[in-house]
Amino acid sequence: MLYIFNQFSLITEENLQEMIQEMPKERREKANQYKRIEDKKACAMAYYLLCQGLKEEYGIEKKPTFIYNEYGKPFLKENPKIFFNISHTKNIVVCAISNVEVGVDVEEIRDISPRVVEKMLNEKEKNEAKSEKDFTKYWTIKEAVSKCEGTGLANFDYKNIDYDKYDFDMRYYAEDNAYLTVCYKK
Amino acid sequence: MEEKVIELISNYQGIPKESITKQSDLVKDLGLSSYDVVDLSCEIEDKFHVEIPDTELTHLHTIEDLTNLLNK
Repeated sequence: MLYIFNQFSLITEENLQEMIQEMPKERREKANQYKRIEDKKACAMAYYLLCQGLKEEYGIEKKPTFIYNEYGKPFLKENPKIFFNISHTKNIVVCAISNVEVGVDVEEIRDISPRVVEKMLNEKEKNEAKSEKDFTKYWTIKEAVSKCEGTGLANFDYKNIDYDKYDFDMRYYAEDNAYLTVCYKK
Repeated sequence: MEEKVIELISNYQGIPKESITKQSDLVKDLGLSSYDVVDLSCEIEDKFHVEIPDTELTHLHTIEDLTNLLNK
């Protein structure tokens, strides 16, 4: 299940401080480390969405705490068989929750550097990606897969992904000019 | 080298140079996304004629990390 919030402007300073105060100490410290207000909002809202999702889908009321793998991917300490992943861009934060390994990425569509296209896409993908929207779609797919696998892009063979190993949910948000991909391990 | 890195990131993110220090965290302080880190690493490779292996990207958290990598 996917939980999405894209109205950052509605979060007041007071709302933000209330949300941060509600979080466990570790998460509160993380939110306070961010200098930019948008990143604080994303951090707080991401945790809020996770709490809401766990309550709605699993009846879990207790605020979750995390353990991390060697690459920094978080897992639920008290519920290791429930998986989640978070991503945010300028005005969207998304939380995916699942009974299988999951990864999610959301990116704003923007001008793409040819160097990044060359670096990230294999020949078939380069032939298929005709626009910034196409490239952003591919970027979010690759990042979502690498987050599903728990390694992140830097430790992942992103040019040679076996897409048949995963199920995907891909969405374009015209209002925010952003692309979102969720990847579930089969 | 540190000044050159700060100038590059200042231009990339539109942040004043004066607000960037060697301890500035690329994500937490400067708001770079994963795409930005890759895009910047490509720009740095071109500008400084170096190669940054993908596995190094996970170790790049601050301006100081970037500077140290380039000084190697």
